[in-house]
Amino acid sequence: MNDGLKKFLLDFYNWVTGNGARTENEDAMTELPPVLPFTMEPDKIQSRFHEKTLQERRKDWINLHGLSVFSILYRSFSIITCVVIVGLLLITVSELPPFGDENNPANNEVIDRYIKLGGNETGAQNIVAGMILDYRAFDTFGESAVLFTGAVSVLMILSAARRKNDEPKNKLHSGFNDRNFLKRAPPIHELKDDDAILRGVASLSIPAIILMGCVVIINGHLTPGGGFSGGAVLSTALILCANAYGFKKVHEFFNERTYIFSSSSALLIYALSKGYSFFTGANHIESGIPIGTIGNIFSAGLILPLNICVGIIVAGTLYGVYALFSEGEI
Amino acid sequence: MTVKTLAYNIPFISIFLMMIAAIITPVLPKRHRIPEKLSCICLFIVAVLSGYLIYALDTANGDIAFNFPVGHYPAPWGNELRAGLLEAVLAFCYSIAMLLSLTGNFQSTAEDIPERRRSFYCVLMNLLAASLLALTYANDIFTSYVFIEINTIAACSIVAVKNSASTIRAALRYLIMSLVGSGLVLISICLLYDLTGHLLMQPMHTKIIELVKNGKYIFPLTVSLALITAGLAIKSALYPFSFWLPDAHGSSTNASSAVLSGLVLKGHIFLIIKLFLRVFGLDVIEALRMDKVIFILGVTAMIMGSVHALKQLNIKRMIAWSSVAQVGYIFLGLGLNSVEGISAACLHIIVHACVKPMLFTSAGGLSAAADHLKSLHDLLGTFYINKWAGLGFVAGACSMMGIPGFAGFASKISLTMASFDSPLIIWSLAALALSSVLNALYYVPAMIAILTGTDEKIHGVHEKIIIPLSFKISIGMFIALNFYLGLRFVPLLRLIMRGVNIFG
Amino acid sequence: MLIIEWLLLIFLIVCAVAVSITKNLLNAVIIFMSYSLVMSVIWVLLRSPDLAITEAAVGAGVTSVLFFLALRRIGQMQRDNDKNKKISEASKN
Repeated sequence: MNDGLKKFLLDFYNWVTGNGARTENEDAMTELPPVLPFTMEPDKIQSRFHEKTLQERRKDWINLHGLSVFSILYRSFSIITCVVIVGLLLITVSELPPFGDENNPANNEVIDRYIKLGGNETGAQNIVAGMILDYRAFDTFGESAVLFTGAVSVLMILSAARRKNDEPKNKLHSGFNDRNFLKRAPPIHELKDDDAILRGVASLSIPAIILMGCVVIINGHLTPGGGFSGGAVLSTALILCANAYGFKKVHEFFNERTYIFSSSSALLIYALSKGYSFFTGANHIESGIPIGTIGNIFSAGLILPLNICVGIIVAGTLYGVYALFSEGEI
Repeated sequence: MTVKTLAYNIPFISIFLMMIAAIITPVLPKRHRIPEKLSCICLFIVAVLSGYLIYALDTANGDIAFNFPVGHYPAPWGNELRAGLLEAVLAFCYSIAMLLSLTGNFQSTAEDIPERRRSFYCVLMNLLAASLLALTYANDIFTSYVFIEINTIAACSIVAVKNSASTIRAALRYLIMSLVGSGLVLISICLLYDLTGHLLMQPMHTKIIELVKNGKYIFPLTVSLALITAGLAIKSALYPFSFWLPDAHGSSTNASSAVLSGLVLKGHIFLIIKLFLRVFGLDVIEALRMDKVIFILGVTAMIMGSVHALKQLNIKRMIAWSSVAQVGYIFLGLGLNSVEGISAACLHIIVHACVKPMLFTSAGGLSAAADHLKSLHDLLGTFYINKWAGLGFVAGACSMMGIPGFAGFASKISLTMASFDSPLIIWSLAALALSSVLNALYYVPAMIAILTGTDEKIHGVHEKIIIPLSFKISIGMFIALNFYLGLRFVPLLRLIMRGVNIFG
Repeated sequence: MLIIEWLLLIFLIVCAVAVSITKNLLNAVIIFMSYSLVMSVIWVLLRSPDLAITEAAVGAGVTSVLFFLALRRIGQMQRDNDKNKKISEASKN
């Protein structure tokens, strides 16, 4: 038993018995307002020393110990919840079908068709790309919309908050004067002019990174990778450029306007082309999109343009979020 | 194909329309409130299309529901949407309620949110509408998850849009709770996929029935059902998980509160209904004893939500806690585990989706009449300053108490009728009675507060405030909808019941 | 090969526990980053290179960069530095 717990139990005992010795803290609190004797009226003196009611004691006790008791309870509760959930999940996982067994329920006609016919039906050598961008393209469209939603939210909360002419008409309505807490924070990125090593490395590696990103995106239907991973690679090139040459340099060719325009139009192209494909598929109309020969760059129907669109969205969004966090604007 | 081609394509068109509206909004000009007008127009088109879908399905031969393969690949390989009467009615109700809450709060949105932000706000609103429609129509459990994600992010951001310290705090709290819910749902989807090998709902259902019949994997199945129900219950603010709700709904701007309380909670609840009816089936739910758990939680929510609402002095927080109680009613209907119970729950979803936005909109109007103060003491006599808002509040409060003729009565009487066939009848009736009394205990004082005014206020010796036309129209429409639901709910209930019967 | 897999999995669990236990936020981010890297190696061993690329780029790269920026924004890194300085000064004296 540690000292804190002992003290807590002692306090608790004193509080229960009531007439026990006052704790130091409580005394300190009652003594706190130093009132000069000649300004004190007699009835006030009496009120200062009257027996405390139960409610007052409760309030004092909560003020003194509430936080520590709460943190103890919170901790034990969170540990118990964690242990219970982890245990439950471990038991569940141990009862699941064995990993990699060929009689598992997941090895059914769905997987069979994806693997056997995937190449011929979608034209993509990389069956994962065929699966996510053709068989289940609606989900992937939703996923890119998730990214778009996130980007719009961050842009709304971080960027639009900081314009000077952006005050709402009714200040009272919008929470008194606490709305200024998100005012433009100073940029935290200090640019050093003589950082020759960083610049040298950046000038060498940025072209290589961009090339790598483009390869991953364009070969998305042939090799592992695709729009999302390629876009992430491209965004690292932008981030490196911003760090080596300053945000102003990036701002010259990529600002908020370009960002909104490029990602909106990429998503729009995605939505319209895939919408056409969905619509024709559901109404049993031939879509007329050529599949091409498996293994060629220009094959797999819509998968290549969709990968490029996703790449643009991801690259812009990840860089944009970085810029918003560090500079407060894109 | 027994429905006409247009009706067949409506689910897809309505989701895609809202998506495309969201995508092009950021590049539109921000002057003259063009983004908001675009949202309203798109929602109106969706409402008209859904109305047509209801008509087409209602007049078709026999009860039909159709599957819409999204893409060139049929059911177990590609994605699918499914539409029947129930989905069409809900989509209609969502789009109408959202349209009215956007138009009703046209002015307060402009006061709270600066112009540059409003464009992004509209993007999020459109995405929210698209995700709600997709959650209604989706027939694939992973598609539902993707749209739950969109819904979560958009909902948290429309809370944070008002940019005061309290709303940011509320939004963060909401975000954390929602993400816990999403995580649970995702874990459960992985488990279900591992056990069944399908993501589409009907193949999953046949597989689950087979598993239960053979007595295989019962424990993992129970755990995954519990996890997904818990995850969705956190998102739909079932009582023990609902402590994020009053902050988020009480402190955000009026349009956000209306949409969040009226619609966003319902999207997740409808997914639970879909899970129970279509993926697991009522028999499996009963075998795994999930219905009892849901029933008990629902009863607790009905009572505790009202008890918490009784303690509130801030009118918006009071209405927010009342939402917790109303969510309890829906779960009570779900816990009865019968077609009647679930139909009554769906009717309550619709009633609440029409009444709660009205209450939030009129509460916003009333507090605007009292210098944007929201405490009940400050709202004394505001009825006489903004009569439209006052009428809306009175109608909404009467409806929430379940006075005959108002919308709330319809769902309460249907829940009562549904509980007659259930073994839990005594508990259910007692909970309904107690909760109605508690509802009255906090709505009546609020009504008295706004109706008792000093002479100056009654006789109009005060600053005249201009009530915008959009506010009048939307409150008028809300009140009309309220009376329609209250007086002519039997045909609607019959429609819903037909929908529930062919839902699985 | 099996031994490597076991080692990686054990490392993964240790990382996951360490992230939630550590008090220093900067350390937590770094441990989280190594967790993502190990996870991406495991994805390769599980024969899903697609996921490995994405995990390496997003989990280890972008997420950690964003975490670092957020820590810097709220001044946590500065605070830790100050604390370390004070401790080193105290030990010198």
